[in-house]
Amino acid sequence: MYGMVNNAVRSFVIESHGAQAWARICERAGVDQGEFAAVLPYDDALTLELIAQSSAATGDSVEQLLHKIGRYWVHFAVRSSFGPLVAFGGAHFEEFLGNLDAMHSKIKSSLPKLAPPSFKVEPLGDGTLRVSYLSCRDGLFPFVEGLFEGLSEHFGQEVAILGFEKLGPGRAQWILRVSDRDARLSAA
Amino acid sequence: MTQNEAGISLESVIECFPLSFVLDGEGRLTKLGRYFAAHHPEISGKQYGEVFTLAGGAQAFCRVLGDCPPDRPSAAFPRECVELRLRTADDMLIAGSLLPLARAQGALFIGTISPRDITKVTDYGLTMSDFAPFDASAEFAMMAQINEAVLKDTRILNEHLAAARDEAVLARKEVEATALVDTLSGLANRAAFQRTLAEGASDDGEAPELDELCSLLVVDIDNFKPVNDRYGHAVGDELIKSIGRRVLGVIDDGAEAYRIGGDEFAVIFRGMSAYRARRCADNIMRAVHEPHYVNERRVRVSASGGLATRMFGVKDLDSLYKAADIALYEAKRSNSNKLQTFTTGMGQRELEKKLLERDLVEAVESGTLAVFVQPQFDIRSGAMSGAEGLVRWWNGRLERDVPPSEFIPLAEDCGLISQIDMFVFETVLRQQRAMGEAGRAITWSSNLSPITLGQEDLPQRMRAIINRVGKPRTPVSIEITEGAIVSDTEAVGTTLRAIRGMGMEVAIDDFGAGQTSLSHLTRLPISRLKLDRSLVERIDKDGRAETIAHAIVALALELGLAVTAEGIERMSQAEKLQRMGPMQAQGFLFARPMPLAQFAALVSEGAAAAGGNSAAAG
Repeated sequence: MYGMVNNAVRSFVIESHGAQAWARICERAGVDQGEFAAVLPYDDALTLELIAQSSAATGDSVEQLLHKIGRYWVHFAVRSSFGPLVAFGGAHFEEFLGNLDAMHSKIKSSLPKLAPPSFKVEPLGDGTLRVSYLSCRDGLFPFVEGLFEGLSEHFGQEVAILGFEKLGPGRAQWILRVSDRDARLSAA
Repeated sequence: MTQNEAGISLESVIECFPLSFVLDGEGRLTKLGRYFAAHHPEISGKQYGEVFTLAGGAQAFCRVLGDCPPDRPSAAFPRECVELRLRTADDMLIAGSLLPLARAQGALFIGTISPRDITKVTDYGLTMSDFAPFDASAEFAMMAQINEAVLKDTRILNEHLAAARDEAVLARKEVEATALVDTLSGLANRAAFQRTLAEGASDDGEAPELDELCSLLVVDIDNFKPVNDRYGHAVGDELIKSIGRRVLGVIDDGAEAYRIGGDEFAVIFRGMSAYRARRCADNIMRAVHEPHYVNERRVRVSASGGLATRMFGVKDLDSLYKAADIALYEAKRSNSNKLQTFTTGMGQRELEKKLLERDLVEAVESGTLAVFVQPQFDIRSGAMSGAEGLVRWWNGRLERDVPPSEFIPLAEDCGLISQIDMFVFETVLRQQRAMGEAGRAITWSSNLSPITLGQEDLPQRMRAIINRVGKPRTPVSIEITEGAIVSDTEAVGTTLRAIRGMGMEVAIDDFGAGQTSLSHLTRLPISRLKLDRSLVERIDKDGRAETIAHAIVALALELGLAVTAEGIERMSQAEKLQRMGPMQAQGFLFARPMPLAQFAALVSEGAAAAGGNSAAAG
């Protein structure tokens, strides 16, 4: 994965548990405490090790942690150099998820080792969506659900998971109910 | 729903192009594309001039609006691009075409974000959905943002790398600085000294020419080891610190002090006349010699110094160091606690020594050293009873024999002596074996230097040679000097017992020169004594020498040791020795050392025995 993902893990741990916790995690994972180069690819095993060590250090299960990092990822990406691109990706939840593949495909032309997941969005009516997910990496479903939550907060829309089905390694689909943006805002 | 001739409704066109709008014949915005409808619905119904400014293609825009004929064919649409700035959205620049509609309905504007504003899409609140599906502007906009993001992160990466590089450079400099300082004395260390010597050397190793006013002093503490041995290393370390402080205390500006060895210091004087450098060197020597007070002890050491200056034809710093080192060697050789200045004569002697050393290395490596043989005879019967192998060196460059007294110390200095000893041993072993097989069994002897004797693997190396050559029928005698057995009797004893275990005899050479304790004779596995030639030399002139020789022979015989007297040159000496008891005789009186071939001929002709008889009888 690109260093930006590792940086998100780093930033999440430091913000939620402090720099010392991150230092311990790095020590156990055998990596330097500094930032990762966002535009350089790192071994997936390193990211998984960081997550495993973070899980051990924070007391969250790996699934819980993935969920939290998925949620955090949206805020992290908005604050990153790619923030404008997130804004360009869409003005609301459905639009953004629907444009994500196109966005990833363009990013891949600059970061050729990017192996992003694919999201296919189908409106089912009555504010429900079917989101089909496909990734070359298995076990990141909690991260995706965290991502939904992060996007929900970012766009000010309520997103409820009505159904989840795992279709195979790295393949799943969700049925989501997504409120209008205004509804969330008015609720808030 | 309005449809044109092709059956495409205006609404469907507007739906496809979010940044589109329709102007009626009066120039009012009547229909808005998705973007305008969502983000700027207030512009609906307004005059285009209130909403937009014309940034490009104004002429074409006005022509379309002004000249819009009732039934203008669509094929006549102007091709020019027009650019509009949307006043209400941060002057967003929209590029597109204004197309007249049929039957004077007005005009249709189909636009997209201007390429000039492509990087500002998010500033205007545009998203991918605000572009038509086939509008490449969306991709351009996205790529522009991706490139911007990647560039930004790459810049960050580069900044990190640059910072890391700067840190690494600083860290390396720190390490280098630490690595160049002797932590004990606080002076620059040997690495720094060598770096200084190499400074400015060209790629081919040629050193830059020295400044005229440059001198180099090398100082060696004469008796540092005894201080360490007597008071311990803690005191030794404090002494070094004290010396370092004193050296720093007396050197002038322009002088650099180094600790280049355990008890060796160097000072480079730059920009100083030879006279001033000499004066400063004298001060250093005096400062070192003054008593030091370390760990509540008063410690006094002397030092020897070698000083070389640029004025004596030495052209670079490395050569200056070598010259100073030669001067130091001279100082220590003549008299310690002395400062010696380098002179060109010293350089010549050193050069000769180096050349000779190089010749010796070549001789050993090419096997051009020779083993000569000096026969030994029974002093009473005159029969040949032994032969000593002696190494000889003919130096082709000098066109002369180099005497062993000259090249053996050199071989010891440059680490070749063991190789030479083993060469002679193997030669002797082969000769002894060959003669034994020919029915002429005599005892051959070979010398071992103290250095060789002190090597732990000596027995293994000798055994390997014996295994290679084969064990002779009669034992080979290994001659060692008195000096070799006084230093570490226990270790020497172990080695000698191993040698005896291989079936060889051990003889002490030059016995009676005064170094050997008589107790060595009982504690070490000795089988023969060789009377020192200085005793033999005086035996027929000096009664006391005769008495001592007599006592040694009697003692040896009493202890069951065999005796050899060497250096016999006169008949009178032989007669005296003959009366002392049975022994081997060796010396010019009987036979000079000779090449192996000559010795073989002598033996085969039986001339040796005849010669030995006549000499002994005479």
